[in-house]
Amino acid sequence: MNEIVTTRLKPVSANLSRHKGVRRHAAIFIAPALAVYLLIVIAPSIGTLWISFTKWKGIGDEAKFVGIDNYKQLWNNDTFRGSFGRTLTLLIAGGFVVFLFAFIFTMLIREMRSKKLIRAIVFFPNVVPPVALAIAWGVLLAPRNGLLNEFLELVGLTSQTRTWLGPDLLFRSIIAGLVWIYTGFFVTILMAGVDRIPAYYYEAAELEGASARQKFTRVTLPLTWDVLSVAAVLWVILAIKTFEFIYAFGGSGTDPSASSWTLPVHVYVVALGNRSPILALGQGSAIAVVMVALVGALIFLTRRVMRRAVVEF
Amino acid sequence: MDLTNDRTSINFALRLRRLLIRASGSIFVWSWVIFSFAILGWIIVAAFKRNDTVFADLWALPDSAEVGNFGDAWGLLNLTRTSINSLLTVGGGTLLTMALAAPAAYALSRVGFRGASGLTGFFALGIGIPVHSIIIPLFLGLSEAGLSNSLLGLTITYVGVSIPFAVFLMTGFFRSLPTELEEAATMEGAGPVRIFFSVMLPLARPGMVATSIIVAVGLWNEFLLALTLTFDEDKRTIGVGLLNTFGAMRYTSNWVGLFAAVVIMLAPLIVLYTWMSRRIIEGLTVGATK
Repeated sequence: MNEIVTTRLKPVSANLSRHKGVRRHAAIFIAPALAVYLLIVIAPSIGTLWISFTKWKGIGDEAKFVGIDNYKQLWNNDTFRGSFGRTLTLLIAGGFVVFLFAFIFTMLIREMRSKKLIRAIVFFPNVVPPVALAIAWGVLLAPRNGLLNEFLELVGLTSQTRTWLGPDLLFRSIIAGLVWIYTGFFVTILMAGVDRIPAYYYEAAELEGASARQKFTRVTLPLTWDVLSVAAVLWVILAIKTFEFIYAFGGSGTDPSASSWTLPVHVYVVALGNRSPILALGQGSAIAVVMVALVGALIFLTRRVMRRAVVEF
Repeated sequence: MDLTNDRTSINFALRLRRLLIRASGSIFVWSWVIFSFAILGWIIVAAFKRNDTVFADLWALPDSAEVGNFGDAWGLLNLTRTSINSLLTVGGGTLLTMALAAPAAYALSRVGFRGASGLTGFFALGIGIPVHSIIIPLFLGLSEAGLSNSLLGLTITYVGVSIPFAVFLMTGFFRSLPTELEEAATMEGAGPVRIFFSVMLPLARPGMVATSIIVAVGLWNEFLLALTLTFDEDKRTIGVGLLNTFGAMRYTSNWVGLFAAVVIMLAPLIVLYTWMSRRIIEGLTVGATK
């Protein structure tokens, strides 16, 4: 009995495997992509790991092996701690706001007639060059002649005007900009999950007298859990590696001031910097390794926390 | 009698509350939308103003349309050169990425062999590796190979960094396709190569289109690799051009030129987006939900 079942259910792929030379074909199909991937991404990653154990200023300078000195220096380096802290702030505080807004949007526009149009509009910043977004955000928040301050004065809220780009608020302004950009991205992803939920689940819940909050926690949340877990992983990656907007916004084309650095900006300025590179390749590489480790650890953690039996429907 | 009265008043209160929630929700959504349009609109209008008066009255319409700003912006961006460079590297990079990623994704998702899922995971690993973590050795390696400061080197790099996400999205697409046609083709005696080119590839076309758009948009917008791997003026891409224009602003204060440059960059994008936004959005979400 069991045997019959297994043969009957054997997937088509098994049939294909029996085909002569399938493995060889699979290898031919995969090898070119794999080769380029190994050469451009994997090999340099290993290279970075190696360089992070050296003191080196690049071609022409002899790399000196220093063990874990670079990492030890990072541990005691206030600038690095600042960058690390800001990356975590963006990840956690920014992530909280992005997901909160994304959920609010998704639930609100679920029943709206113009939902596809709204989704397209809030997603739009994600296809705009980050430099253009940084310019727009600068125009909005400039202390003198900035749109926001001028608008506040116009409507009589002069007391609410701030130096948005001053050292105190600069990074918060950056986070606000990233929230504006990325909320649309996650609205799109969450909506794809919500759209798969059959409407009669909500109708049934309504018949039973469920409130909006109950509909959210009892229907939407469990049934979009798998999409949500993918979205959380994507946010971890996005938040840690986002660079262009922060770099352009903080420095308008020159290296930005350290009060806006996150880890990627820090790597860039220390190792490659635009105007006056420090060329501390070893230290830059050590930060880069920390970044990858952070991404890896957080993805692992996210998956662990979010792991839960997927509700089939 | 009393009972019904009570019930209606409760109903009324409930309905009022719902109405209020819905109204405030609508206000939230539409203010977000209006806010986004307002910033965009302001920059477009400002691009037609004069540099000495652009900040005099923020909300005024320009008294004369300074079309010359766009000529200035064209020069600042070095647009003739940078747009060609961007088209070459982004176009070439996207095409090559698809040519490599599509067959790989097909083999990984449809031809069952041992290690397929492990290998898929290995490709997906690349999504989590930030470009910053590879750029130093990459720069050194390309210099060694004589490919630094070259558009070819930049294109190859673009292919390498795009492959992980492209493979990830495409395996999602291939997995979502029905198996019947493949089975039928196998029965007919078609080999894997034949099946891929004449059965699966046509079926996966929407996925291919969506993936290439997403890859192309990502590459079009990046400037870190372009900034680091090329340095001659005539090798600049459009993203680097805009960054430099922005940087030059510190010294020249030519704001209207900058705004015009932004408009020049956004115009084709807006046209494309109005036309293809559904494709882009759906393409992105398939990877997440399949």
